[in-house]
Amino acid sequence: MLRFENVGLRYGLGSEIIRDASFNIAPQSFQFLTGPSGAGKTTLLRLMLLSLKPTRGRITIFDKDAATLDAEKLTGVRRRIGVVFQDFRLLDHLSTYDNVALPLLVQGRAPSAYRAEVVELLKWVGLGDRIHALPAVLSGGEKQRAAIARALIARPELLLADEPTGNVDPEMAWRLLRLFVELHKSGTSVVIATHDLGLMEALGPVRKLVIADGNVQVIDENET
Amino acid sequence: MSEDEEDLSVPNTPVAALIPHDTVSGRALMAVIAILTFLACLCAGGGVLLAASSSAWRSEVSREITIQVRPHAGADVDAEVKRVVMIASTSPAIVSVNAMTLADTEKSLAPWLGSGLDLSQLPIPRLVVARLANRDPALLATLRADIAKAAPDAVFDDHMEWLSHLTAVGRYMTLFAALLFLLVAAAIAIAIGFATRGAMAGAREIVEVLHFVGASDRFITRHFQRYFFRLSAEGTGVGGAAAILLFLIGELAAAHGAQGPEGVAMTVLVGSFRLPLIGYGAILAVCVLLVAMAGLFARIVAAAHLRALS
Repeated sequence: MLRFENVGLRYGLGSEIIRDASFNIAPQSFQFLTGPSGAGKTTLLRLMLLSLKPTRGRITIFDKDAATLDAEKLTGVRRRIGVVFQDFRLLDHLSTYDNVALPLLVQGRAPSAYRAEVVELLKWVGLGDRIHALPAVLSGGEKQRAAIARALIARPELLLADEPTGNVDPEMAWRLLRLFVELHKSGTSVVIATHDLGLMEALGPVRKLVIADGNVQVIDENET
Repeated sequence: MSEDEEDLSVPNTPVAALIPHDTVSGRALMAVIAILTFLACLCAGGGVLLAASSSAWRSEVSREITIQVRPHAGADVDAEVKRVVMIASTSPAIVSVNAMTLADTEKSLAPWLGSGLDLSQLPIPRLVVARLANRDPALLATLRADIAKAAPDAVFDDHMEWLSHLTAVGRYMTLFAALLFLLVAAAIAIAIGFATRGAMAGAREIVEVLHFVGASDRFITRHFQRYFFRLSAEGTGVGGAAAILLFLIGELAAAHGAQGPEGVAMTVLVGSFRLPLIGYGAILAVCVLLVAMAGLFARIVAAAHLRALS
């Protein structure tokens, strides 16, 4: 589904932030991306999302070489990816409902066709009573849940989540984690960037991409 | 009402504008568009008004000829005037003939020379004004020749020179109005172009999020176009309405003042200040054109900006 081969990234003439990253995200797989703060987790996620271009190496996504994707194909690829940003990236002038419905709207689906779907998901993430609220009046946890709902609403094949439980209480964190696991079971590949050890241990043995000093190491506890 | 029913009260069209409307720069741009549209509409309406006035002048002038009977030594001016009137009356090109009396001439010269003058001591030419049935060159040539025989010192003026001047002036004024309109349209296009770039730079976060959630460049461009379309529609609406209002007020004021001596003088000089229906149509057409142009320009600039981003 997503393959990195000797991928390196540097900004300008600086040293490489990501070095020789080679790994594979298989279909219907679940993995954490972890490492100390500032190690490059968000950068690696942005490379996976194709919002950054590697300075060397090759990224293959959905059997397509990322370097050869034109704007139209890139749009097609992004529609198959759900992403939760660490800073939520909700559009401040849109209501919670409109923010969550955005991925369906940009696909050209009729609002009446997805209304019930969006409301149901919002209720599931505990935002049933915040449908009309603007992001400015949502708490950090509520924004995070809205961002997660937006990433999930189009049932992506690959979900990339950057610290998705960073702003919620443990109970909601566990609930959201279960949501990601359910999503994984329904066929979505999930990559969750976190440095929350408790969260990773809660699921037992699970595949991890560990990034430190720009090097990515794959640890698959299921295989050991 | 159950909870589910309440949930479905979510608007059926949840698509709040993806580009926020009520921004300071948006309002400023709307004001600029309104002002430029107002000026463009004044150009268009003024052009139509000038064209209509010019056409009325030409029509009036082309329907008449003037014969000047000049006094000269030993001539009986009154007899010459009578001969000219008789010849003109019998011409098939002429509908009616009016010879201005000395009193009429005195009255027409009063604004320049003052009243109460004894013109009999001055060599004032007498005017004969003939209204044409048609402007047949052959008939007019015959009439000119007949008058030259009967009154050799009379000056036959078929107004052609004056007509050609009027036509040229009317054409220049209309061209000038069209040029002004083009300049204003260009200013609007440039303003929209800069505003689109500014709006896209300001909405960089929005554009980025839209890209991440799978929006195509075409989708984003369409929304920017819609945003500027709406903005310019509001601006041109205000500007166009103000222009129409100004013409209506001008028309009312002209009608009110037409009875006075200044009004009469203005009517004589520039015609009636009455914008024909086609003028209002031109203003509406200008508004529609400017809105379409603004939408098109916004689309082109937004698409170029997105191409540059990618």
